[in-house]
Amino acid sequence: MIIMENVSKTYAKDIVGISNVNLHVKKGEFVFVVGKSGSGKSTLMKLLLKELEPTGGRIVVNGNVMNEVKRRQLPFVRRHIGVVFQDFRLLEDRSVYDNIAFAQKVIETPAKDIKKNVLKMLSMVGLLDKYKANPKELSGGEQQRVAIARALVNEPDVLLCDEPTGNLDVVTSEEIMKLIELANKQGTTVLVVTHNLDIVQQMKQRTITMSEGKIISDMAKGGFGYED
Amino acid sequence: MKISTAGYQLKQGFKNIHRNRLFSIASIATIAACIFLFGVFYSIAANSQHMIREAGNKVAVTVFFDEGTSDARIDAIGEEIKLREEVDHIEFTTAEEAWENFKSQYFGEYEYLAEGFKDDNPLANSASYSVYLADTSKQDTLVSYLEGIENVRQVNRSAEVARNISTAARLAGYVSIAVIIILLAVSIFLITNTIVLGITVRKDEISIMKYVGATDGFVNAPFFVEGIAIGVIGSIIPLIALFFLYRQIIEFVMTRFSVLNNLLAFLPVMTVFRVLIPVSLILGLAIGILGSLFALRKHENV
Repeated sequence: MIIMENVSKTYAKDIVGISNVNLHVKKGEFVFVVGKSGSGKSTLMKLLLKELEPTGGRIVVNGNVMNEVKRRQLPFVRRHIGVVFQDFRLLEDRSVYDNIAFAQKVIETPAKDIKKNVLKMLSMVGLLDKYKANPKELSGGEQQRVAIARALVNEPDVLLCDEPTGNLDVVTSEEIMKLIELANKQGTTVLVVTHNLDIVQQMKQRTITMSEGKIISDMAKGGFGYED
Repeated sequence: MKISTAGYQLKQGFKNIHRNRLFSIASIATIAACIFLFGVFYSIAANSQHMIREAGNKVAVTVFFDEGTSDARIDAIGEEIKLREEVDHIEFTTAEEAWENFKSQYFGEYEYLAEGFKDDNPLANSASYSVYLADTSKQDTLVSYLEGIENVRQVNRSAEVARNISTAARLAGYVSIAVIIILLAVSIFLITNTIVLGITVRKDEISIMKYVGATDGFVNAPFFVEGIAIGVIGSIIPLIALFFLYRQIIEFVMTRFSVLNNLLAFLPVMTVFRVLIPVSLILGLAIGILGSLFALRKHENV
């Protein structure tokens, strides 16, 4: 599902983002990527989304060789990748319902299906009663639920989460991770970049540790015991 | 593209205009000013052309013949002149008619003063052709040709009026083209900035759109709607203003200065607007599309 072969990214002035990274994530797998700031986690995420071009190596997501994907093909590749950010990135000029429906409108889902799909997602994230609310009226946890609903409404094959619990308290973080785990149980491949080691230890999933742009450990499911 | 998607794009485009209303108003005002000026200059140019044509029908080049030229030769010259493409039509004036015209013009009610010339027409050799031009700008070519015809004694050019009108119209044309080009550039610059502002305001929305798989066409469409709407609104406003203004001005000139009625032949409002409406709308549309294109090209990697 996700393959990185000898992938490197060097920024201007020879600043290394990642160096010779090799990574294989199977379909339906749940993977945490942990590491200190500047370890290359964000670069890795951006490369998977083709926000950045690698300076070396090969990246495959969902069978698409990202190095070879043309600008005009990229939207169609991204339709199979859901993204969740630390800062939620909701549109504050529209309701919760419209924020989720927006993702469906963008890919030109028929109007009759949008309502059905959005309500299904709202039900899944437990926000059916708040569909009319503005994102500003919601708590951080609720906003992140909306962001997850938006990321999953197009039924992506891969879900990439960049610090999804970074702005949330412990209890809310656990709730958010349960939602992400639920998506994974329904068949979505999940890759979560995080600093939250409590969550990582609690969930006992495969965990990759990065440092100075390199993968320094890759612990199989249940084997992670990370010490900072 | 689905109808619901097109509706969404249209709605977003008009939302953009509303969000950046100050810039949108500035852009609309500049385009309106540009097209208004274009309309004014076009009306002046079209009317000048019309008046020149009318003047061409009123003034003529006069051709006189050598003494003793036979009537048959004069007829032959007439036929030759008629064949020229610069010529609209010709009129023949006999020596007697020339003398009658002269008498009524110079002696007026004192025509008896010319009694002394009763049997001796002083304009005996003044039979002439009045040659009316189809295109006054070709007067010089025609005069040189006429002067070269055998038995032609003299060619009198028509009044300089036609030439002066032509020169004035040409000058007005150059000035108007320069002003319109400057205003077009300002309009495109302003519309580009308005759309760039819209892109900046919607940067988050655009980045989310791209993350969830929006195509460039989907992302760009509302900005084209915005540019086109601003361009078209900016061209409709001056068209309406010009329509009423043109009618009012003609009415005012023709009623207040009725003495000019014979001199100034204005085109009817619908004749002018049959050209002005489509050209102005296309101009507005083109400004809008160009402005959107420049803005989107600058920010295609939002």
